[in-house]
Amino acid sequence: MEIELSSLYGQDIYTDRGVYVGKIEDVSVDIKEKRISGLAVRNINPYAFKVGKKKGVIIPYRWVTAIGDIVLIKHVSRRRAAEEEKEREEEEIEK
Amino acid sequence: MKKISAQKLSGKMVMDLDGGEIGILHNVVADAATGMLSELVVKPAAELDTSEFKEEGEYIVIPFQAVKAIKDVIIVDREGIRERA
Repeated sequence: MEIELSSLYGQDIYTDRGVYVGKIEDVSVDIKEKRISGLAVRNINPYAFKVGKKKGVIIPYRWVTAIGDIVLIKHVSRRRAAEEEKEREEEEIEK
Repeated sequence: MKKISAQKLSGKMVMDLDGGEIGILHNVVADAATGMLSELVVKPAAELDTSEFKEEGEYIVIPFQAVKAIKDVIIVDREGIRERA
């Protein structure tokens, strides 16, 4: 299925166990690889991701299992979420 | 790795290799399953001859393979577009 990236903005993300994750704010694209690298998510459910004082997380696109009216990702533990936080920090440094 | 916010891409100028203006980027299309970027949806410049592009309403569609560079502007290879057409 082909999707327009702008149609993703504002979509809700849930895990495949039905847990609300947050809202897509932006999409990160890898120009060299010509592919979507991650989804920038805000309004994070604190029970799904521990984000501390940060406003959001970047969810790697490989976690995405389905895109339709909502987006589903693999269910992840809090520990892995913390690793993603680190990735996001690194990305911000690149900017 | 070169990563860019897709929101920041919208509104960037799209140019060909000769420096000619093609239009303004409206949207990017991707394959949902793989995440691979497939097409650029561009609002064509008023003076552009759109006959050699795939048209979709008021927009033209450019295959992502034709993209050569993305920074402050987006550079596409017109040859790459013609070969596919």
